[in-house]
Amino acid sequence: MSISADTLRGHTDTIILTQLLRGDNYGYEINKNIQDRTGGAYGFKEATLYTAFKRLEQAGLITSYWGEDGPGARRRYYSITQDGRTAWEEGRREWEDTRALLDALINLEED
Amino acid sequence: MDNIQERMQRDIGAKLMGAPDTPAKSELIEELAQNLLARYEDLVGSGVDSETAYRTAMDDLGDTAELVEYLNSLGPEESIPNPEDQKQDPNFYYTNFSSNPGWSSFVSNLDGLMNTVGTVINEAFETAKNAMKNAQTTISDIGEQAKQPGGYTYRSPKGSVSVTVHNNGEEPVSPPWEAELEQLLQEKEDALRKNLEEHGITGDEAEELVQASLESAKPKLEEELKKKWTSHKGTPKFTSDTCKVDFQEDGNVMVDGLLHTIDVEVSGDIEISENADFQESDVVIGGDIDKLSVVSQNGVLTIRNSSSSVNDIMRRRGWQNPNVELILPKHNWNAVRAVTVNGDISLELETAADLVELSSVSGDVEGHISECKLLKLASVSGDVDFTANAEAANCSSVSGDVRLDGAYGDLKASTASGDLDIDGSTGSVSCSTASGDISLQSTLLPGAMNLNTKSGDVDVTIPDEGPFVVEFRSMSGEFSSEFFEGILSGKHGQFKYGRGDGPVYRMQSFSGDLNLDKL
Repeated sequence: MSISADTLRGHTDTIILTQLLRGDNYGYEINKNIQDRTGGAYGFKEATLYTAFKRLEQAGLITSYWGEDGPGARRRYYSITQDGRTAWEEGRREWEDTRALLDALINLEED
Repeated sequence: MDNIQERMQRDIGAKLMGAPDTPAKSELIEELAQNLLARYEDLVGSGVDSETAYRTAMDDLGDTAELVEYLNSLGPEESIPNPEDQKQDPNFYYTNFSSNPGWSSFVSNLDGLMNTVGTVINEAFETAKNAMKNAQTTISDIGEQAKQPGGYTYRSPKGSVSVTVHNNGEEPVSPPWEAELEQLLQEKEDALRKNLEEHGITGDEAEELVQASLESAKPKLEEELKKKWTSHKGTPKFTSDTCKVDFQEDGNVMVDGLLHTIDVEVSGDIEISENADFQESDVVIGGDIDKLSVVSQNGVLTIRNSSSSVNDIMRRRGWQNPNVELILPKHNWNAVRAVTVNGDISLELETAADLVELSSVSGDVEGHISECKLLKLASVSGDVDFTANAEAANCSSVSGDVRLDGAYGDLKASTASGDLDIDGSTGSVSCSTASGDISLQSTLLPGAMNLNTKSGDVDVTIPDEGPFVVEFRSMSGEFSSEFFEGILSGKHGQFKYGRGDGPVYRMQSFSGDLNLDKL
C-alpha cells in the first residue's frame, strides 16, 4: 500500500480526535490502536504524535490529566472536549468532501 | 526494567536539549519515556532482543525539533499551557505548519544562528592569530604558485579559495640589468673594434677576436651588474630578482618592477591607494619604513614588521605599531591582502583584483575597489565600511557594524553585536547577527535571501517586482510588509508575491520585528 505521507499528515488531528472519541486514552495506546486499525501499515512517530497533542491541547480541542497506572507509574491521559468534537465533525466532513472530490477527479469511470 | 526507563529518559532528554529545563519538559520526557517503554516491552514480549527493541523504540521517537520548539514557546515558569490563552491568537494557525518542512527547522536554524555568531568570533580571532603565524608560508605559497600561470589556490586559514592568475596580460619582465649589460657589451665591442682597427686587424680575423672577447667578458659583467642591482645596505632589507628597490629623497621607498600581488601584514595602520600617473612598475612605500621589512619577489610585494630583537620587544609591548602607506600603479591585481592587529585599514582602488582580503583585530576596515572576484573583509572590534563590485563577498565584524555599498553576486555578512547595513544590488544574500539589526536595500530582486537575527530587527526594501516567496518567522516579533498590505501580518508564514516560480526569501528573528517593503 502506497499512501502519500503528506496526505495522511494533513489529517493527523482528525485521526487523533477520532481515537479519543472512543474514550480517554494515553499516547502509546492511541498510536497502537491506529497501527492495529491499519494492519500495522501506519503509525505516528512519537514526536509527531506529541506535537499534535500539544497543538490540540493549546487549541482547546483536547485536555489531559495524569492517571495512575499500577504502582509508581503514571500516564498522561487525553480526553476530547466539546470543541474537539465540533472540530472532529468539521475534519470528518472535510475529508468526505475531499474524498468525493478526488473520487470525481481521479477515478477513471464512464460518465 | 527501571534502568531501561532511566536510559530512555536520559536519551530523550538529550534530544530535547535545545529546550529550557522547565516542569513542562520534565513531564514531556516522563510521558514519552513511559510510552516508549511500553513499546519496548511489547517488542521484547514478541521475542525481539533487548538492544534491538530499545533501538526500535527510540527510533519511533522521530524528529523532536517541533517538540523543542513547543517547549521553547512556553514561558520559563509555565508548566502547562492555558488553552484559553493560546486559542485566541489568530496568527498561530496562519498556515498549516505541521506540513511545512521549514517550520520544524526553525529551532535548528536558531541554533545555527548562535553557532554562526560563535563562528564569527572564532574566525575573527583565528584569522588574526593564524595570519601572523602563517604569514611566511602563505606568502611564499602565493609567490611560488603565482609563477605558474593558469591558477593557484590561495590558502586562507579557514579553507581554500581558487583564484585565477591572469598575469595582468603582461609579458614576463626581464631583469633590469639586461639593458645595462647590452649597453656595456656594446661599448666594449666598439672599443675593441677601434683598438683592432688601430692595429690593422680587420675582416673575419677581427670579428672572431671580438666575439671571443665578448663571450668571455659577458658572465663576469652580468654577475657584477646583478650584484649592483640586488644588494642593498642598511634597513629595510630588500631582496629582489627582478625589481629595483631604491630610496626616494622624501624617505619613501621605490620598488621598480612589475607586481601582481600585494601582501601586507603589520601591526599598525595600512593605507593603500593608487596613482594614475605612475608607470606600471612604480610603487611607493611610505610609513614607518625603518621598522618594516619589504621583499619584492616574483611579482609579489611582501611587507612585514621588521624582525630585529629591539623591534620585536617594542612591538610585543605594544610600543611599536609600524604603519604602512602604499601607493600603487593603476593596474589590475591578482591579490591584495592587508592584515593588521592594532591599526585601521584603508583601501582605495579604481582597478580590479581577483582577491581582496582585509582584516584587522581592533581597527576599522574601509574603502572601495571597482571590481573584485572575491572580497573578504573582517574586523573583531572595528567597523567594516566598504564599497565594491564583487562576485563573491564575505564580510564580518564581531562588535562593529558592517556597512556595504555596491553590487555583490554572492554576499555573506555577519556580526555578533553590530548592525548590518547593505545598500546596492545583491544576487544571493545571507546575513546573520545576534543582537544587531539588519537593513538591506537592493535595487534588484535578490536571487536568494537568508536573513537571521536573534534580538535585532530585519528591514528589507526591494523593488516592487515578482515573483518571490517570503518565508518569515519570529518568536516574539511581528512581520509586516507593503507587499502584503492589509493581507497579512503575524509571527510566521510562507507567502508568495507575483505569478510563477520565484526565489525564496527567508527572514527570521527570535525577538525582533521583520519588515519587507517596496523600494
